[in-house]
Amino acid sequence: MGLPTERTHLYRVYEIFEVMPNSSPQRVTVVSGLEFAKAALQPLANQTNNECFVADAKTRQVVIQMNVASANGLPRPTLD
Amino acid sequence: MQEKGVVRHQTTAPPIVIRTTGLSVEAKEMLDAIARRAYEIFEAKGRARGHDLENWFEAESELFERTRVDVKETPEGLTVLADVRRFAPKELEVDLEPRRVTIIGKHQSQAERKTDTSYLSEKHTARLLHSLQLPVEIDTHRASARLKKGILELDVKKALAEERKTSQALPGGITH
Repeated sequence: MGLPTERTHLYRVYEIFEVMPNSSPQRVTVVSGLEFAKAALQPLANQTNNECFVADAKTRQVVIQMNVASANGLPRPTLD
Repeated sequence: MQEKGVVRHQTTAPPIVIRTTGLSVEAKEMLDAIARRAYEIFEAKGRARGHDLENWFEAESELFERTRVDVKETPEGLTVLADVRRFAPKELEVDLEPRRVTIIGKHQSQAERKTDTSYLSEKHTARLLHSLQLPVEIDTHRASARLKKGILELDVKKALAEERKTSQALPGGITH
């Protein structure tokens, strides 16, 4: 049996972005696994006032956002 | 005649269109526009590999407005709240799929000023596209939407199988 041609990930791959003041999102890092993504996002969001978010690399869905008020203008709860 | 798969929720405010047949042609065109712009960015950056998602979000932020969205889950369904204060109800559309909600908005405004010597016409178009993956499967035919102080409130019911699962999982839920 041949070796798999693509590297398979046990966890989903997430990319972490910071939205710059000119509203362009800049990738900060790439991590595997949602828990690791949360762990990487928290210190980044603490360092800056810019919006930071985690997106699923495969589906392009934003899964966590930080430094953003909720839809009705109230502050969002922090990550556990 | 009402289009198939389109529900207009009439409350006191004008209706918000809820499409239950998946993505509308307009939403698909918007996604195509992002893909085209993302490819242009990829080319402009010297075709550097590994930045697909970054290029996609950059294209999205150039073409469409960003909105703030919250999702609340109850045993019976989900409530999606979205900040759409720049849009009137008739300018909004919600496309429902079993695992995805897409909110589309298009606002156009025009201002004209005339003096004896000049004429100024200003046009502004704001477009919104927000696609949201849902944590559970929903029944696309049991949905309602309303606009309250610029916040779109979309209530969707879970698909029956999901509803059963949640009621069993939650404490005090009925188990068979």
